[in-house]
This record gives sequence, structure tokens and C-alpha cells, in this order.
Amino acid sequence: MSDVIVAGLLNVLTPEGLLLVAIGLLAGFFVGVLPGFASSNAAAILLPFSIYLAPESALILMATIYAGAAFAGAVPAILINVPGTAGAAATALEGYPMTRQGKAEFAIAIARMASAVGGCLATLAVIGFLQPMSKVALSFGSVEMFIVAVIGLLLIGALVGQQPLKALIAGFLGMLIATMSADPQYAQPRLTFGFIELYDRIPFIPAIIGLFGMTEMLALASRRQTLSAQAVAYVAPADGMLRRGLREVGASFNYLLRRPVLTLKSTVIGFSLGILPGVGVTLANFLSYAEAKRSSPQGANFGNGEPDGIVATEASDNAVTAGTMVPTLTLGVPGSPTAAVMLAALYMHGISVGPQLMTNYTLEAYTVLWALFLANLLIIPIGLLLAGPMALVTRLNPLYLPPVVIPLCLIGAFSVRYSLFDVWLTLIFAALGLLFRRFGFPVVPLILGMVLGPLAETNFVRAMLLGRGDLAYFFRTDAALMLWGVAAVLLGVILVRLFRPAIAGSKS
Amino acid sequence: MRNKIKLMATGSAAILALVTPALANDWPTGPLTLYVVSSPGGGFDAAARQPQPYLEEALGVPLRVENRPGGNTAVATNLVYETGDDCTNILLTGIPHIHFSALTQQVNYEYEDFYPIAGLTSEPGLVRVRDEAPWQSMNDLIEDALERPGEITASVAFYTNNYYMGILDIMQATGTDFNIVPFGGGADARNALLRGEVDFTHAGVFNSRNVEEGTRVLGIHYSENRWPEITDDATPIKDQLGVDLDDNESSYGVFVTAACRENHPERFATLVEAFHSAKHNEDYLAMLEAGGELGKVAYVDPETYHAANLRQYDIIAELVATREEFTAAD
Repeated sequence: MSDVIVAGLLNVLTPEGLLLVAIGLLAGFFVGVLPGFASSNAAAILLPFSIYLAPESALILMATIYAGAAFAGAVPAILINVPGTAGAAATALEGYPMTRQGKAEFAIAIARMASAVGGCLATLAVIGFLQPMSKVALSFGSVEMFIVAVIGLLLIGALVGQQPLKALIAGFLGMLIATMSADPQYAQPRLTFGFIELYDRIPFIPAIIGLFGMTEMLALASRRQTLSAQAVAYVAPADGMLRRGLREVGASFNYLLRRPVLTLKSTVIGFSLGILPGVGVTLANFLSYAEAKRSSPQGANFGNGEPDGIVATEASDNAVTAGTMVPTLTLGVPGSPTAAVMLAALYMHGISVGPQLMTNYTLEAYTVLWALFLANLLIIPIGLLLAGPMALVTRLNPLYLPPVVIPLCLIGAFSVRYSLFDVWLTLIFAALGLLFRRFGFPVVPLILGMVLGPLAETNFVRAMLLGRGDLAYFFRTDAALMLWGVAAVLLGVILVRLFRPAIAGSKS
Repeated sequence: MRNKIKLMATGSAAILALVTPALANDWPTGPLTLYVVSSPGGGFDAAARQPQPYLEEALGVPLRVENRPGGNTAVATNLVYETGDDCTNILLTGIPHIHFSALTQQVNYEYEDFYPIAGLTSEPGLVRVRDEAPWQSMNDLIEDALERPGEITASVAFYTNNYYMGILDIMQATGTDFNIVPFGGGADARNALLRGEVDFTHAGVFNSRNVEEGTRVLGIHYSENRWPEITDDATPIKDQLGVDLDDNESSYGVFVTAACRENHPERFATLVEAFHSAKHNEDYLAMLEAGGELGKVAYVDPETYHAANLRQYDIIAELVATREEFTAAD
């Protein structure tokens, strides 16, 4: 096995392999910074051309687009509060406040370094333990996935902050919105109002573009100052952009070095959830963010521009990309939309996917993984060259931003399914976002409710069918018992936190 | 001056009248779009993208493959229903998917609003169990199921596909009662078998090959086993059980609107010829053979395919009218 791993690395380290990695990474950066234009769209556009490439070359391109977009989605999230990808939604929570404090370049540097470190560590883990991990991915059935969703819902408790009632209302509203779909068992429409576009639930990208980007642009239009009042002073004109960028690389590296546990924990969360098909990058990143907020000494500063939050979400984000390769390559179950396109590319080359892929095409699989590793590593230098000029946006007059960014947001929302319906949906979520701001409701529980509701419902209903209505079915495997244990501990921690002030108050 | 204009107009009309048939014969003059009912990746997408280069070669114009997932295939179907009357927008969907969509969803179209250009692939059904399962034949499974009604669990992708109908057929023919659980997708339904969540799965001969390691085929839900090398040489279920069972298969086909066929018969004929030519292209067939998927190619001409689809429509209409899972929401 080690021979084929080395052969996979050598495949990538050829001039053609390196060129493909660089092209894929740049293409990924490009699609990542465009809101809504997902890496899966870019990979799908490449599909017809991939038939003229060797299968491993096509996969290298797609995997590196995936890694590049995973980082680049953070750039607009940090600079203008518009997540370029679904995975960057959580990054906006800390990145954008940092931009407004004049720390945009440091925030991007942190995101870049965390993405690279999380992505590289997770990819190395996949390379080393691909087969055993596929067994873990396979072992998660409906019960285990339901408990994962329950743990996610409990972690909303970690994000409740000072207004638990408003957070709970937002979380329930998110779950209610998530029920607007065909029900998972009988496919009968619920709250779809006759729109067939809602049969598969509210599409997530238009929702977050509306909640984050559109809301922010509308709010920005009413403010008459640059995104960062301090940004001009912070960036001395005489100071070279590249030298400054290099300094930020050093600073961000030092920052991560001082937070090994946070970096590692976020990588593990992203990676672990990445290998479970159907969980998705948004949930992984928000859970990583919630855990960082819960455990960080700077927890109280979360929401006000805390770099630890960016480390948590971005390390998780790129770790997810590596994690999704496990079910994709070993089970033939795409761990993400981009991974689904990669499987389509294999189909087009006459390669059957599934467990036999690792038997018949081991070299191709490890070539892809090494390409992913290299792409994550190259995020640092290539991201350094591109991110500096992008940060100049913070010094624009805000009146120039909405006329450019709002159409970009709407085009991005449209591009997901080429649907005007999604554009209207973006506008509705923008209005909802403005209402949330106006009345002080937190937006994160709303998003988590939208993500976790369907995951919990689908798996609960299926588990009930499998167990023929017997609740004991939810406790029958070791994995389920272990996960219930984690959920119980989390619930205990949340209850203690909630009631400690009341108990302390009554004693005093 | 007025006479001059009239003369020019009459001359232009005459030229147009001469040119129009020639233009019609030259169709298509611009790109066509093939809408796929699912996301990139998976069976539908592969069925569209694998022949795409050969279709472009046959048509002489670009053929864009665009995925319009959503609404359990209804989004793409509705899009072609609304925009496909000039024949430039084509739909790739499945049978019985389009029937279930028309019969169970709140949509504006009926099956008869479409007409097939060709049947592309055929996926016969089978019953697959884990290697360590106690049953060596379908008889063993049925015997056990009769002793434990409702206790043996089976996975299918959806309640609205032919594999679900296949299990219902077996239950009706043998008096058994299985606990049938939909998993929301074929890959998930098959992996549920691998992880031991269910006792057996009803799946496709070709699409279940990705779980052949660790599982075995108990029976083919078809009148004969033409695929012995990839199905453990299993005997047809009807022969094992000595009961009468219809052949169970799903198929992917390409469709245009009925209005396209009626109003533009020459365009319809061009499309039929292009798909026929592409599906018999040697390079295309060689590519499928390399991937072990050649057997699923089953080109069916429009008329034969349409007639078979209408027969299946009647069966599904009856099922939808009687089964609780489809009538529960009414």
C-alpha cells in the first residue's frame, strides 16, 4: 500500500500534475470569491472537457478547485459579509467585524493559514487511514445521524448568548422554514404553497446570501463611512503589499501555533463530519464555531471580531473537503456536490465507482488525495498574492459597494439552479435578515435550525421505520450509545451554564 | 413609392417562403439543451453526459447538459414542459419517475404532455442480501418472511420508484409482509444493506454493482438472467418461487414535449435520428464496455418506448389510487 501512496505523490509532482494543481487552485479561488457560484458548478462546467483528459488529471483539477474555493469563500465573507460559499457563512460572523476594526488583512491571513493547516492535516489523515475511515463512514446509520443532529441542536445552546429566548425563537423558525418541502417519507408537499422549487427544501445558498450579504449591503448603504474607518491608516501606502502580506503570514502562523488545541479540534470536527455523507460543510463549520465559542477563553468576544472563530471555521472548512473524499472514494457516495461531479467524471471515463474503486483504481485515488494536499499547501503563497489586492475593497466608499455587490449576490443566487425563484428567495431572506437586525434576533440559530431540522427529521423518521416504532432501536449500537453520552454531557454543561447564575443569585 | 414597398414586401415574402423549408431541414442551427432531473453525479447525470460528445457529433451543434435537480424530478420536467415546444429543450428522466411525478405531485403536466425520443438505458431489478444472510434462495427468504410478518426489513431509494413496486409485487404474489424503508437515494439504500440496517435491498442489476463486495444476489426480478457474470448467476425470482411476476425494470429516456412532436415533426425526426446514431456509436459503446456498463444500454425506438410507458402508467395509476402511502395525504 505504501508503494502506491508514494506513486500517487510522484504522479502529482510531475510538471503536468503541478500545472493542473495551480490551474485548479486559481479557478477555485475565482469561483470561491463569487457568492453563490459553488465549486460544484465550476467542476460541472469542466465535465465535458474532462473526457479529453486522463481520469486522474480531471480529478486533480476538480479536487483542487474544491480546495481553492473552500478557502476563497472566506475572503468576501470577511471583507463584505457575503459568504462566497456555504462553508464561509460562519467565517463572516468574526471576519467581517474584524474588517470593520481595520483588521481585514489579518483576518484573511488567519483564514488562509487555518484553511491550509486544517486542509493539510485532514488530507494526510485520509491518505494514511483511508480504508479504516471508510468503515466509520459506513457505520453511521439513521440512528447515529439523528444523534449527530441532536448534538448539533444542543450546540445551539452554546451560541445562545445573552438572549436565550430570541435564540430559541430563531432556531425554531429555522426548523419551521426547513419543513417547507416534500416530507422525507411520502414526498407529500408541506408549506410549499404550490411551488415545486420548494419540494427539495429551501435552497441554502440563496438563504445565506440573503441573510448575510444582501442584509449587510442594505445596511451599509445607510452608513456613510468606509467598511473600515481605520483601514487607510492601518495600510501605510509606502509599505509594499507583498511585504505586508508576508508579515501577516508570519503573524497568522504564530497565532495558530499558540492555539494548537483549537486548530486540531476544529480540524477533527470538520474532518469527522466531512466523512459522514449528508451532513454538509455548513453544519460542520457552525459546530466547530460553536465549540470554539464554548471552550475559548475569548468566548465572550465571539461575534465582535475574534480570530479564534475564524480559526475554528476555516480549519474545519478545508478539513471537510478532505473528509468528503472518504465516502466518495471508498463507498461511491459523494460527500459533497463537488464530489458528486468528481464521480460523474469517473463515470464519463467508464470507471465504476463504489468500494471496488479502491481496488481497481488505487493509484488514481491517492493521486487525487495528494493533489488535494498540495492545493491546501499552496493556498498560503497563492492566497497571499491574491488576497492583498482584494483587501483594497475595504477602502472603497460604501456607496459604491451595494450597486456592485447586490447584483453579484443576486447573480450568485441565480447561478445555483439558474432559477429566478431563488433570486426572489434571496430578497425574502434579505428582508428577514433586516428584521432580525432590527429586533436583535441572532441569525446563527436560524441557520442551524434550517440545516439541522431536515437532518434530524429524515433520520428520525427512517429510524422509527427501521425499528418499527420501538424507541429501543435508538440505543442498539455502541456508536449510538457513545453519541448519546456526548449529547448528555453537552446537555449537562448547557443546563449548568443556564442555571448557575440563578443558583448563585438565590444563595447570595 | 407605396407600390415599391409593396413589391419589396411581396418579393421578401416569396424568398422567405422558398427559404423556410430549407431552414427547417437544416435544424438545429443553434445549441440544444438536455435537462437532467438530478444533480451532477449519479445515474441520470451519467446517462446524459456519457453520450453527450457523440450526440453533438450527430447533431452538428453543441448540446448543453444542464442539471435541474429538485422537486423529486419535477423541476426539470416542468421546465421542459413550459419551454420545450420548439424542440430545443429536451428532458432526460426516468420511467416510472415521470409517472409518479404526474400522478402524485401537484404539477401541471401529464405523461401525455411528453413524447419520447428514445429509451436509453434499462435497469432490471434484483434482490440483494449480505454475504452472511441466512437465506440461500428466494424460497428461504419468503419462508422466513411468512413466519415473521413485518419483521424483515428492505431498503429502497424512494416509495416512488420501480424497486418499491417490485417488493410490493413479491409481497402480493407470496402473501408476505416486508417492512420497506425508503432511504432517499439509491446509494444510501444499498449502503444501508452493507451496514446491516436492513435485511435486503431491491435494486438495479447495474447500479447495485458498487456493493457487490460483501453482498450476493438472491434473485433476478426479470424473466431471464441475461447478466449472470455480474449477478452471481442468480435464477429469476418467478422461477424460484413458481409465481407469476412482471418484469421489474426502470429505464432512463429522453423526451420532448408532445407539442414539439406535433408542430415540428422534422425536428423531432432529427432528434430521433441523432439519438439513434449516438447510442450506436462505436466509441461510445467501447467506453461503456470498459466500465462494465455496456449491458445497461438499451436503445428503444420512440413508438415502442411510448407504448411500454403507457402500459406502465396504467399500473402505477392503479397503485397510486390504492396504496396508503400515496393516498394518506389526500
